[in-house]
Amino acid sequence: MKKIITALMLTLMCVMLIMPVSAEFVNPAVTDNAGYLTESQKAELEAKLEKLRETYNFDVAVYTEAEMSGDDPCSTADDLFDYRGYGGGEGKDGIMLYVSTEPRKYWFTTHGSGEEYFNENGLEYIESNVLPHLKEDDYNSAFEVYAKYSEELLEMAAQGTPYNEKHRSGMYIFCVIAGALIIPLVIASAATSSKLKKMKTARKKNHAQNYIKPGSFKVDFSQDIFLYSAVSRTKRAESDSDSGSHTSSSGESHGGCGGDY
Amino acid sequence: MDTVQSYKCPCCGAPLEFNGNSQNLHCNSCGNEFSAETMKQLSDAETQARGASKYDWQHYEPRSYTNNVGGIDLSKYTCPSCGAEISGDDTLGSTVCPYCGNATIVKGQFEGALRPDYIIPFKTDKKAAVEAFENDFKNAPFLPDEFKDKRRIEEMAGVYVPFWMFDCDCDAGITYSANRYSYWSDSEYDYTKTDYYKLIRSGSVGFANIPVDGSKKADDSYTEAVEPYDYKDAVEFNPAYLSGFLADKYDVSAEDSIGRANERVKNSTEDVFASTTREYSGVVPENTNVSFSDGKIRYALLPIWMLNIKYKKNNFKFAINGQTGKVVGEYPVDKGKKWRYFSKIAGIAYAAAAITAWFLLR
Repeated sequence: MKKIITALMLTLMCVMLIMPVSAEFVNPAVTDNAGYLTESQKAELEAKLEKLRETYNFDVAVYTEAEMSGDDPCSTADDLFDYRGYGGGEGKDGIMLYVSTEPRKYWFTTHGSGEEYFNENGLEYIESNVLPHLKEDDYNSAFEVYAKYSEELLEMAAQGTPYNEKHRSGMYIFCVIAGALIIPLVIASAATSSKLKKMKTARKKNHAQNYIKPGSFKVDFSQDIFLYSAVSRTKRAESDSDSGSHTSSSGESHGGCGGDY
Repeated sequence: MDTVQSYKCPCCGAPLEFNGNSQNLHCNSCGNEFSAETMKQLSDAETQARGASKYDWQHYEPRSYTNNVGGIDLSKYTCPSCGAEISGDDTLGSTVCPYCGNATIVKGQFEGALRPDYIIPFKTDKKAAVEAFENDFKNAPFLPDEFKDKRRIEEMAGVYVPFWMFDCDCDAGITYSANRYSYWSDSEYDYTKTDYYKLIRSGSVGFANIPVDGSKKADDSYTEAVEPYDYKDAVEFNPAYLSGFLADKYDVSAEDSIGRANERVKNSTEDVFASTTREYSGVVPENTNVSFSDGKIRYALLPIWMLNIKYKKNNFKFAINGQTGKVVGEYPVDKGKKWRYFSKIAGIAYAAAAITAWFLLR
């Protein structure tokens, strides 16, 4: 009997060693205080996020508020993440999408290995896909897309190559390519034109500075009259989104990005 | 009868009205305000600058001289192609027109000429002039390689070109419009403040020996491009200086050259006064009043080597300052060299652009 118990204990220990340690997630994957989702939508989303949590031992969560509880979306999301115990494993690895109705703000906060898996470029990638749905108040689609792209990025991280491509707008790419094609031609034309001037040196002179008598130039009267001023202003190129690594009020390091929607 | 002084807005041109509250002149059209003192200063300055310029040159009549004055016999050479009438040493072997390169120049009887007030003698001899030319074309970037070997000096003649020399002491009043920019930003906007000014300058400046080419045959773009001359070498005219050289006779009168002299005086006066406005941007002269009396005109002969180069059946003209050796002209362009240079620069620029674009897009 004693041998059987010992064998069972050893088998259990072996199973525990072989199986990955599943992180415990103390919070539900979806906390919809703002009431954006129907019960069925919430259940479906929760199932997807729970599956991600289990598969990757990484917390993927959504948290919404009708009225933002903090001063700004960044600190609100960070504090919710830290003080409510989001994140999985010892590193409290995870990502949370925070959305508030009043004001209309959103924030992706990352922690632990989330800062690497959902780096600046990765967050920009997810944000560019989620934001259009948020702007249309289509929260269910926004969260579905969030789950989908989170899975994609987590899978890439699991393969050892976290997503790290910069997201660029079509106009930005067009301007860079057009500039790269046109500017060299302009430089080459200007340089050639400058050299061509040396080929023709016979040119009229419309001035006579060489013939000013030395010491003859005198200014008897000089006055500068101010007439009027005009002020023009141009709106600064403003990004709706802010991003970067920072430290939250609890002293934890977070990555993240977000803004208005 | 007293007249009421009315002012127009310097900004939009609408009439200004006196504002009792601010004690300033107010524009109802654009909303700007100006102090009465500013408007009076502005009005006075514009009245002064808007006055008609007065370019008063003395009448000039050169004296004439006849053959063998300086102990040499002169002949007249006429070009049937371009009409140039050139005086020169009777023993001169030249048979090619220095202006157009025509080889059928006709020698005739010297009939007298107008005596220049002074002359700058040739200081650069023919050998030195050729060397100056050969050094100059080394700096011509797109010169065909064959030009160095296959060029043929068709004709090279030292010519005393007639110039009218203009001296004047000008009083000038100029108004400029000018701007000053300042920039700042807040969290939402970038601001640009443009302050508009009217700058008033008056004073005097003197010019000595502004040369204006008095020969129709000599191309002004060549005779002006070989400037400047150093007038310390100018001496009283003596026909002996013509020995071994040609001397063109003026066919553009002093009166007909005055327009060009006035143009150069006006441009240079505006520029020299503009040198006092460097702290402003967008300085544009609005009204220029240049006045002088008794401006002096003199007649001078200045030395130029005229060079006609034959290359691949085409004639290329060059002029070399006979005093300083400065070379001007128009070289043939090797299109292959030109496009190779363009491609080289474009290639380097494209490589740099590709690297930059890669960093921007990665």
